[in-house]
Amino acid sequence: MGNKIIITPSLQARLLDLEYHNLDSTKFVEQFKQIYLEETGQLLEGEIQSYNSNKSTYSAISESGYNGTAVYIDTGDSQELFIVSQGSQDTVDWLYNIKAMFAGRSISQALATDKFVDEAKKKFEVSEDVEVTGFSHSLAHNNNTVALLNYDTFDQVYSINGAQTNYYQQYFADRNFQLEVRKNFSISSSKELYEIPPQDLHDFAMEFYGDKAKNIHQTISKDDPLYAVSVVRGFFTLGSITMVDTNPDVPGLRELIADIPDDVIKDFQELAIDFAVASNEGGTNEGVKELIGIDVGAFKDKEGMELAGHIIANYDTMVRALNEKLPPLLDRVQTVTANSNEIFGSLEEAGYITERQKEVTIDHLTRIEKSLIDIEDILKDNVNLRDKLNNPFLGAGNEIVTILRLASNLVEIYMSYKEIEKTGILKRLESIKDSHGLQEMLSSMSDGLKSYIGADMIYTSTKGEPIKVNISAALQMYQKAIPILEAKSTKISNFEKAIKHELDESYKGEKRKVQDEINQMESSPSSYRFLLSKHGFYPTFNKEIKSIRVHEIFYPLEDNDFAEQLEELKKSVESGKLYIEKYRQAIEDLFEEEENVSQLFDLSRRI
Amino acid sequence: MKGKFIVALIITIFVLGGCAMDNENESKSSSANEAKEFPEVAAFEDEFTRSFLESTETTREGYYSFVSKSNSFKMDFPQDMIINEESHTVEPDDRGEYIYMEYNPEGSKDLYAVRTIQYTNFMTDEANSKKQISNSLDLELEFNEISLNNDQKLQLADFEYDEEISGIAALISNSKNQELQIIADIQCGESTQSDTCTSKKEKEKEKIMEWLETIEFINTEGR
Amino acid sequence: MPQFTFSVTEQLIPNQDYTDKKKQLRTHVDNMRADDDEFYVLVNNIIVGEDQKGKIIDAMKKETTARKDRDESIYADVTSKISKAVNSFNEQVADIKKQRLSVTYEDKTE
Repeated sequence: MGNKIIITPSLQARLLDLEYHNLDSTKFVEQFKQIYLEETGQLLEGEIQSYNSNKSTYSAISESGYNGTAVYIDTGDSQELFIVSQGSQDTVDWLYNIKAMFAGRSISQALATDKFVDEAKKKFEVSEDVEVTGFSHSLAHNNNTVALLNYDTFDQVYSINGAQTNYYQQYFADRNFQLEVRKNFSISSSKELYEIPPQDLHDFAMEFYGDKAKNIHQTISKDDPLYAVSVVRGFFTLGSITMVDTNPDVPGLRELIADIPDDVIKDFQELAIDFAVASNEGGTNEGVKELIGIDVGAFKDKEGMELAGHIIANYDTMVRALNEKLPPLLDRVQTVTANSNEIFGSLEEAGYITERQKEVTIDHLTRIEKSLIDIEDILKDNVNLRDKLNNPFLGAGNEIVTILRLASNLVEIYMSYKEIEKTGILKRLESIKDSHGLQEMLSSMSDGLKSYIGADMIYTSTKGEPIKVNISAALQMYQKAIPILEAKSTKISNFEKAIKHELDESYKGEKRKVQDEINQMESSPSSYRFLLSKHGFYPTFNKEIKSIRVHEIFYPLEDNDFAEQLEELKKSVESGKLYIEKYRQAIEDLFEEEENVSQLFDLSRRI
Repeated sequence: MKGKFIVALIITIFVLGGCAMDNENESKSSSANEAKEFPEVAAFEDEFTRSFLESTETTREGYYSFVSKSNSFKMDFPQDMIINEESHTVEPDDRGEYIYMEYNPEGSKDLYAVRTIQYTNFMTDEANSKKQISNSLDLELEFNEISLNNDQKLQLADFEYDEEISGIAALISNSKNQELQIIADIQCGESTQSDTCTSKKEKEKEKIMEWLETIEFINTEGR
Repeated sequence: MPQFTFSVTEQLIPNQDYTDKKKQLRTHVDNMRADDDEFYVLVNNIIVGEDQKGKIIDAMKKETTARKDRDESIYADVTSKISKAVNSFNEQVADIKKQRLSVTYEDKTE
């Protein structure tokens, strides 16, 4: 093999970040080369093509929910195919996938990944044995790893903060694994699968996939919530793992979670996901609506008759919604409240939330639970209530009381929700999400010289006061400023042409029109009889115009000389080129000891 | 004044309540899952499996009509089998579904046979789908095309996983990018003698073949 | 038959307003400005944070500001030149549309 492509963790992180920008093919390749140069100091040479799943010739791929870009690099003596995968296309998919993942099911995204890689190979006309490397973040790691384990889609998989594989998921997805589990543990129904001690199944899976795991390379943040939850039953972490502490202020959630039973975590998670997503999208109202299925905001401020009227008008839909949403919600809330001291207590201890946030949340979750139980009781009696309602001879007072009780419970839930929200705990917990992101990972990959802001590479000069220079931006400037100046040059000549056209030529045109008119007058004077009457030569019937002579005078056009201005504009372009070089020199001076800065500038122009 | 309001309120509740009751009755009667007599077979006794079955009438002896939850394919469902609920999935927009069928573990222990169906509506290339099936079994499979009707193609491969386990892998596809990747395996129970095992396996294979031919895509035009 | 000649100044072609040309020409200036803006966006991203100090940084910042100012004054000059040129164009075209002419006619009654 010739010079093999170098893969560093920060290169991975930046490539993955790039993938989320959904660039077009040319732009993607350009950025890919730029990042490669910055990260390795080397120019990625050879023929490079990219292909996005959205552009797939099979519309089926783009509809599968899979999203990724294939990059094929042919350096002449070596060929490699890189697949950069996104987690999931949209929120719906993301939610679905994360829930499915915890339930240990759904591998259709892994199937789609394999299909896309297969298609990319055909598209680039590469042989079956070209090395395929997958880059993935988050859920895409699950997809890529499953694709590697089940379909040999990849030769290597590199991931950051990946969603781990799940051996229950694999039992159903990988028949080979299933058959070996069945034989090894002598099970004869899928029910028995859940009776195998999880640790045994875990160990068996680790051993079964041991060989393939050698091709999996993961970088994981200790603070990544996804890493924390992968302690629950079913998950197994494959491959070589590099742990990074991306948020030194907190210890990470994994150890906290390790003490909490699986089903409690699952309930907490589902509750938190529904809660957070709905609140994110539509505030408190939507949050509550998602949880209990009722738009409490529509009546929470009403009282007495007005409130009763509203409830009556919406009674049917409300009861339906409650019937559907309440039982699972109550289940989850009860699991969480039963363990709330443990969950919120350890969150507080670890510094994720404040004491007040803990107390208010626990208090109001208990209140929500009480209201939910009361609603459940009301609904249990509801059948009876309805029977009564159908009978006009039975007393009415009770029903009104019941309806108002229902309403007041709903309002209570709403208010409690609002109180929890007010503490800022949701925002606080949301910041945990940052530890799942690529940018926090990149930020942690700093050394004395190099660091990152967003996905840009920053150099810090240590000569005197530290000075931060965005090297990505500097190289971009150096690379793109010349084309921009050239574009400006073109615009200056366009302007020059426009002056000629709008003034000189236009003036000539006007002159020509006048001249035409003169010629016309002189050649057919008789058509200009109106001149006689116009100038008072009456009567006109006995007169005939014999000739017209125009004594034309045309002065040359004045004030049309832009030479001075054009000269200035052109000078500005020229001085721009000097300015760029000066800027480059200034940056090189800041980083005198770093030899490669100068080389980076040189190479950046060859991208 | 207050009394009048309450009377009006009650009348309103009667009307609305009445409506609600009607709706409820309607929805109850349309569900096949309520208070009815079911055939005493595993497929109906298992509540989850029952939810896929269209009717209590057999389509042929021992089979009931099954419609997938994504509403993308149907088949004759064997009465002795049940569907694993934990692993069942329907993807957003009905773009995929996974079914895991096995014989009722309460029933005969002669045979352990699992049939899995992976449906997707984003099939790209037939060869790739066959490769995926082969890879999942870690075997080199040779597929034969069996039938071609209604724009639907069935391709089959017999496999011997090892001395114990054999089975049939199948790919059913059509020109609308729909595909079903099916793996049906057969394993004799521990108590089964090796000589009877072979004949049991042969019989099961025949059943699988018969079953495969009942699987059909449901054409949903304009999706 | 006798012929007579008279001389008059005549509007040969109706007048027209060419002020629109200002807009036409200014578009080109706007286009150049857009390139400059793009250029400065690239440049401005390089130094991280506004408050960084240092000899080299100060020098570059000064250079950038001077350059921007110079470009701005060129554009201002170009814009006023455009205005002047088009106004003048308007007047001059109006001028050439009026010409002096001698008309000779024959009087048949005499």
